[in-house]
Amino acid sequence: MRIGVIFPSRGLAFSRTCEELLDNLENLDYEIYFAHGLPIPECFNRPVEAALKDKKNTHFFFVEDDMILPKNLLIKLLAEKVPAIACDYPLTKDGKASILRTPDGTAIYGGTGCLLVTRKFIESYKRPIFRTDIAWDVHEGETLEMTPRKINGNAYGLHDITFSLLAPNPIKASRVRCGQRKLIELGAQATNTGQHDIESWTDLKIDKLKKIKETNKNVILSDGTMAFMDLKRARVLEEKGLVKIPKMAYVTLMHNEVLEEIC
Amino acid sequence: MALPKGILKKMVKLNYPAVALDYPYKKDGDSTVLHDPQGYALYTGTGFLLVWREVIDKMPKPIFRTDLAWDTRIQKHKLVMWPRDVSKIKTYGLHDINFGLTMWTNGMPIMVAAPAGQRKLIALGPKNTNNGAHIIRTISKVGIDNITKTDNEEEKLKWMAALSQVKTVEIMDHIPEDIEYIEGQAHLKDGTETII
Repeated sequence: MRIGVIFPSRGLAFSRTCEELLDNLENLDYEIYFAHGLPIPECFNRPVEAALKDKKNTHFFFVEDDMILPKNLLIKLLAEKVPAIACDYPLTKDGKASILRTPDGTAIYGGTGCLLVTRKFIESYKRPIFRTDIAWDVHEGETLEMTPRKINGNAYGLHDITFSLLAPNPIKASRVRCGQRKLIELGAQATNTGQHDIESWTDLKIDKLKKIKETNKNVILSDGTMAFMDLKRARVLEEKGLVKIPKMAYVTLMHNEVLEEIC
Repeated sequence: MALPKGILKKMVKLNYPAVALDYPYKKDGDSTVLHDPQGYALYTGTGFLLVWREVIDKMPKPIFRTDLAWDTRIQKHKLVMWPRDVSKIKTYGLHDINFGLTMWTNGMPIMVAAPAGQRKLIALGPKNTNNGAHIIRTISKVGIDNITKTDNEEEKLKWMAALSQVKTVEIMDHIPEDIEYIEGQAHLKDGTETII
């Protein structure tokens, strides 16, 4: 196992983030792929493509330059042995979560601040892996209906939402939470006490879709045909092995020509 | 710092107690190293400094101190430096000069391995945009021994000319008898001009 660390940076990185990253990588085989001062999504695409070229890399660990990484975080993420796992972290001081979860805890979409994926997972993406030319219109129907739309011009983020929604497997939301650092003010120059004023955001309000109340459900019968029945009855039959209840879908990617192009 | 590729390996290979890099600290053309006539450093910056453990262990503690400033004069082919207590005033740096001079006076002057550069943040990038790169400039032209903090070219040339005549160095542990301080600046008591 070898970790390709993808470390996109706007040109500066918090030294504590660097320390925490190196601490997490201790005793592991790894290579860090930096991006300096590139815009999103190039700051992700360039280092990840470089990391993919090295066939020794089996996992890709995305860490943004302002994250607060708990001790032993990476070991815990690797131990999950899933194709993709992300840590939640606050996007704002009052704890707005980076991950939107289904009621059962799976990430619908999340940030790229702390994300571990396998080679197989990331190789399945169409190129470019990260893109910012797609926005998603959301409609809350029976499921969360998300419709892609091409955008031109200035955007902020979006690479992470599209990356999550087009994932070949659901991205697991880790129980380990991260924090985010914010530069409040640069320290004074030409003095021996010129440290910067940096805030640490660690409060997090988990963001979950509300449970959809179901009374009736389509079930799969033993001969493969579908039947619509009362959910309680379906559960009894499922216990007896007579029917299979399909996993509930919470999100529907609405088909259009944009989805066709990017999938 | 802006570091030459593979420089740490080269510095380790030198197998020397203390090895540093020379780099401009404020703008292209200045320097953080002052050399003695033999080419060793009287002091360097601490931007990229490799030191043996034995050296660090034997250094007087605290290893880095900022309570002493060093004034310099060049007179009759001799460069003289003496300390001044600045513990009561706000200072910038000095830890590096004190470290270098401790090494030099103990017969273990720092070796300078190579030139390097320094990065300067010109402006923070804008927030909430995908194009939020910070503006960072790298200064990498080293003006050997140009440790003067002046922008005055004439002063700089005077310093470099005097330095080129230096044959010996003396590090004193007290302020010379013929020096007095006026508004924090060292002057010769008899008022004659010299490079200070």
